[in-house]
Amino acid sequence: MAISFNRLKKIEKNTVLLPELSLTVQTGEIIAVQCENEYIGHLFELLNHLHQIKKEAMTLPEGDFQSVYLLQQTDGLYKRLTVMQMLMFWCKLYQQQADLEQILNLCELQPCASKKTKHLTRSEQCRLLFASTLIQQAAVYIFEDPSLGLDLQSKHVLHNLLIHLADKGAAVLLFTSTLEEAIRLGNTVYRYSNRGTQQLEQDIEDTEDAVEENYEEETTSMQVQLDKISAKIEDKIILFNPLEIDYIEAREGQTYLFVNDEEFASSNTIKTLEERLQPLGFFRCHRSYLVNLQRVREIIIWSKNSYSLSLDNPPGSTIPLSKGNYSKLKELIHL
Amino acid sequence: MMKRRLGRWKALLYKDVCDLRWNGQVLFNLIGVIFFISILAVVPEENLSLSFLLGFIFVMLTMLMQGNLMVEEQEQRTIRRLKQVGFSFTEIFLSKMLVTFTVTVFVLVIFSVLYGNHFFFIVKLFILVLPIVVSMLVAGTFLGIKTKNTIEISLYGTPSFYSIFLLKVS
Repeated sequence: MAISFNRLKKIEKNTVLLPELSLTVQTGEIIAVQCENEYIGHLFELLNHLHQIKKEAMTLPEGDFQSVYLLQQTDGLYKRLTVMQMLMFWCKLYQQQADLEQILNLCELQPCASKKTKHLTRSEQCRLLFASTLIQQAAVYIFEDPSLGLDLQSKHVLHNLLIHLADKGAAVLLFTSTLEEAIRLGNTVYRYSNRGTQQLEQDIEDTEDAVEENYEEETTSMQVQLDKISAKIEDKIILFNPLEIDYIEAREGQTYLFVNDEEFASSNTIKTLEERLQPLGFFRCHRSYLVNLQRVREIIIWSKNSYSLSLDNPPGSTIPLSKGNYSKLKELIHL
Repeated sequence: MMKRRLGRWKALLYKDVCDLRWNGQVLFNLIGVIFFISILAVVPEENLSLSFLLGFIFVMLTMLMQGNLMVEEQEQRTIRRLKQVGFSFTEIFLSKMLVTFTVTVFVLVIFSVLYGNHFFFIVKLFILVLPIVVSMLVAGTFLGIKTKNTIEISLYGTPSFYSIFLLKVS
């Protein structure tokens, strides 16, 4: 075990700032936790003020908190230093002899090695911050929403970086507000809410899909039927034309329809919706997601086991595509 | 352990020196002060006392530079990482003081050369001004802690310069 949170919580007056967090991260694991931004903020505030945490609420690796690396959204760079100078500064700071060329290569920063950090784009700055994780030799790496606002290139870099850290035997724990990112980046995914931590059963999908294979074959030949999908907002019920829907997400026992960057709660289960919408070109790309294939612009292949679908809806959403469903999708679109 | 600590200090100094070369605010004050004392050395003004020149150097350079270096660590959100590595707040501001002190000594050497004073005078001058330099470093540090950005440093630091100037005029 590298690090463990044992019923860590924070209550201030009558408000629960941080619900009970119980989680153990083993070496070589990449655990992604999806939770609200507010909880991420409170958790990192606690991690920065360790004296506020009860001793039994957190088990640290050997070497105490010095061997835990925190990467926060608020971390900055020295704006007048070049990328190379920043890397050299970190090498001196962490007393490490690192292969800077390899780090620049891994983080795809070679073209801007002599650029001052203030002239880097936001994504390049993030990649430079990621580079610092390769210099400090820590047992545990904790990331605060690392993919927030990143471009596709940087997301690739982050993905490879996490795998690299895990391969080196480090424990990686990342907190993100979006389930899609959590599924894409983590080997094991947890949801953290006011009900505590719950593991997302990603493996079930493969067995479930196998059972449903026969059913799918039957339904492909079904006649196209028109059907409205209902969603509830306060006391109103809205009826959507299925083709208006970009994708559907199942989250915390509730199904949400995503239409033009807006989210509507539906009373139907994702399973029911899948049955109804499959003949209309919807595809169950993940246990928690059903996508309108007409909206899919790109299939992003992060690694052998990690895929995403990029949609051409106004926010340009990306949703996870599980390994098992990737091959099904390939067949479906005759790839 | 000691070696490790020394290595980290070297890292801080390396970063500060790299940063200082392009720090426009500090460079402007440094060049401004050197220019001002050089002009007054070439065109002597009988009414200007030594204390005014030294006060000018310590406020314009020492205090504002220390304040700027301190506040930038907060402004650039880089202090968290230093603390995580194990630096205490005292160590951080001591490293900044070391840089500012070195630059101040450099300007004082130029000052002594320009005004052509003999060696013992320079030594005595350095000993006499040392407490003032230290108090200006502390004032700069205080300013750096209490302000949010470099603009506020100038906002609160400039009145100190004007008060010295007005004291001299009056």
